[in-house]
Amino acid sequence: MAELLTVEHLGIGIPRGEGTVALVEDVSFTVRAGEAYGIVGESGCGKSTTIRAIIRLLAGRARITQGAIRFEGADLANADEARLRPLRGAGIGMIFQDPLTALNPVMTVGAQIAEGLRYHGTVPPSERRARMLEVMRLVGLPDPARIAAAFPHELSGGQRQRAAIAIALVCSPRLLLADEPTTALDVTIQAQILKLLSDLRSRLGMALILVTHDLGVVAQTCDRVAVMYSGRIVEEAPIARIFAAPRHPYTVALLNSIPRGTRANHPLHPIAGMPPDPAQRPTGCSFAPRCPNKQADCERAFPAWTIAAGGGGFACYHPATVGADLAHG
Amino acid sequence: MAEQPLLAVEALNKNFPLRRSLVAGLMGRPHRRVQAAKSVSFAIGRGESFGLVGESGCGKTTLGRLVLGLLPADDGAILFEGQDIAKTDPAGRRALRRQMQMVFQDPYSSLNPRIRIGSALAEPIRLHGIVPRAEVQAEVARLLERVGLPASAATRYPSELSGGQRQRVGIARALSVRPKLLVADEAVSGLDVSVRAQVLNLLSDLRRDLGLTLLFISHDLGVIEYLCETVGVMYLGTMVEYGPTAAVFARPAHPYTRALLASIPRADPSASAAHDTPLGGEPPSPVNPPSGCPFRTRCPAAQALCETPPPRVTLPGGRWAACHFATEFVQDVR
Repeated sequence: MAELLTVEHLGIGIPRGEGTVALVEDVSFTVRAGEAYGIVGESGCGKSTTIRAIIRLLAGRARITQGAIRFEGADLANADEARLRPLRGAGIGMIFQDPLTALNPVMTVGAQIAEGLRYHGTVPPSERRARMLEVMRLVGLPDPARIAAAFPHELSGGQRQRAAIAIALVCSPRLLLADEPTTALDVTIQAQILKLLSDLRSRLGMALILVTHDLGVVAQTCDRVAVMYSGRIVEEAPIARIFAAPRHPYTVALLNSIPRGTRANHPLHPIAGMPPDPAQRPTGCSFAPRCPNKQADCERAFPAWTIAAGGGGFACYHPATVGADLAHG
Repeated sequence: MAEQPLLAVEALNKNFPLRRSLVAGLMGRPHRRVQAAKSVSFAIGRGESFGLVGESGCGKTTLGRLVLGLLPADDGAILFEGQDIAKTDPAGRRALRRQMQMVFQDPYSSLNPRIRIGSALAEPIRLHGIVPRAEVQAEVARLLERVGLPASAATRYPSELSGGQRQRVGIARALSVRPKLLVADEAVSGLDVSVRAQVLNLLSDLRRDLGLTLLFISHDLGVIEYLCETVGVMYLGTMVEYGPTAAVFARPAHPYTRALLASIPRADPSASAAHDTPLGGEPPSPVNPPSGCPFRTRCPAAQALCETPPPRVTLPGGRWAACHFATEFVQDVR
C-alpha cells in the first residue's frame, strides 16, 4: 500500500522560562492509505499532542520544534496557514473525544455538516443538501432531515458523535484523525461507533489514526499500533504481535494492568510509580525508574530502535523475551 | 437465608419530578417524572463485594445515594443490619452514617483544595470520636500507610497529589471512621490503567484485611468482574439481572446483560467478532420508559409478550433475571 502520511523525528515543545519543555520527542511513524493505525498510552504521554500536530491544531503555546510531517508529498510541519487550509477537512478530517464541545451549540447540525462543503467548494451549491443528507445516512443518523434541522443539545451523546463524524467525512478525507472518539460514550454506543468507523474505513478506503488509552478499542479497530510513553513511541507492532508478543516492558506492564475476563480474581500487576514530569525526564530511558528489567545501561542514553521479529520494533535494551511466559494472557 | 444480610434493599422506588412549564402548570397538566429506581430489591451479605453495573442514566448512582441516605426514597425500605434507615432518629442516623461511607469518582472535587490532607483525614476522626484526641495524628499516619501513601502526604494540599494519590486519600477518608460498608461510585473511572490497577488492588486488599463490605458502582464490566463476587445489572431504573459475577458473565440470562458483555472491546485481536452486531438504538428516555419490559425497544429477542412487565425469574445458583425468557436464555450457550 502507498504511504499516505509519514511522520519523521517529530518533536513538539512548549516554552517554559528560558528553555523549552519537550512534550513529544523523536516520534516517527508511517500510515499507509486505507490503514487503521492506533496510538495508545496513558494521560500525558503525548498521543493527543502528536495527532493534533498533524493538522497543526496544537493547543496554546505548544510548537513543532523539529521533524517533518509528510502528507501526500506536502510537509505539514513547515506549511503556512494558506497551505494547510485546503487540507483541513478535505484531505484530513478529525473527530474529538467530546462531541458536545466539538459542535457549535448555536448552529444546526445540518449547517455544520454542510459548512465544509461550502468552504472547500467540494460540490456545487445545488448539491450540498443532498450530499449533507447522504453523509448523515452514511454515519447512521436516523431521520436525517429532522436531525439536520436540530441543534446539538437536542441529540443524544451517540448521535452527537455521529454528527461530528459526518462533519469530518463530508469532504471525503483520505485520513481521519480520531482522538479518543468513544471515551465519553457508553459501552453499547461505543461498540456502535467503533463498528461505524471500521465500516466507513473499508467502504471509503480512508486511513484512520485512532488515539486511545483503551487497549481493547485498539485490538478491535486497528491494523497496527504504536505505544507511547513519556513523549516517545516505545514500541510499534502489527496488532496481533502487540498482544501475543509484546517486547517493551512498558507494553507488557500495560497489558498486565488491565482486568481481563480470564484473569478474574488474580491480582492485577500495576506499574509502580508514575510517568515522569516532561520537564524532568531522566537521562536515558524514561521508563527506567519504573521498569522491572532496568539495568545500568538504561540510564545512560535513550535506547535505539530495534526491529522486532513479527513486525514493528521497540526502543529497549532489555526487552521481554519472545516466547517467555508473559504474565498476561 | 440464615444470616442477616448487612444491607437489604426492598422494593425501592425513586422518581425525580421534572420542572413543569408555567403553561403546563396553569393547564393542570401533571408533573412529569424521571424514574430513577423502580422496585429495586437486592441484599449484600457481610464481607461481600457487590457490583452495580449499567450505562449512564440507568439509576446506579441514584441507588448508591439512596443506600447511603443521601437521597430520600419515595417508598420501599433500606435495612442496614436489619434496621430501616428511613425510620431512625437523628442520633441513630448519625451512628448509621459512620457505618456506611462513600468513595466518590472525582477525589479532586470531593476534597477541599485549601485543607491539607492530614486535616481532611483528622476531621471525621475527631467528629466521630474514633480515637482519643491525643492519638488523632497517629491514626492519620496509620491511615495513610494503610492506603499506601507516605506519611509526608499529610502536609500536602490536594493539588500537590496525582489523581491516583488523591483517590487513595478519598479511600483513606472513607475508612477513617471504620465503616462496615463502603460505597464506591465510579471510584476508578477517572484513572489511567496502571494507576487504576493500583487502586483496584488496594480496594481488594482492604476488603480482605478489614472485612469490609463493598457496594461498587461502575460502568466498567472488566473492573466489576475483577473486584465483585456478585453483580446487579441496571437498565432504565430497574435491576434486570442479579447473581454471582462469574456465572452471570459466563452465561447471561438477560438479553441486556448479554449485549453489554458483547459490547466490551476485548484486548484480544482474535476476538474481533465481538462488536460485529452491536446493540442497536439508544436507551429510551427515563421520563417515558417503555411499558412492560424496559429493554424491549432494543432487545433482539423481543416478542409480543414483552409488552407485559417481565416476572423476576429465579434461576439456579442464587441468580435471577427480569425477563420472560430468562430460563431459555441462560441455557442458550452462544
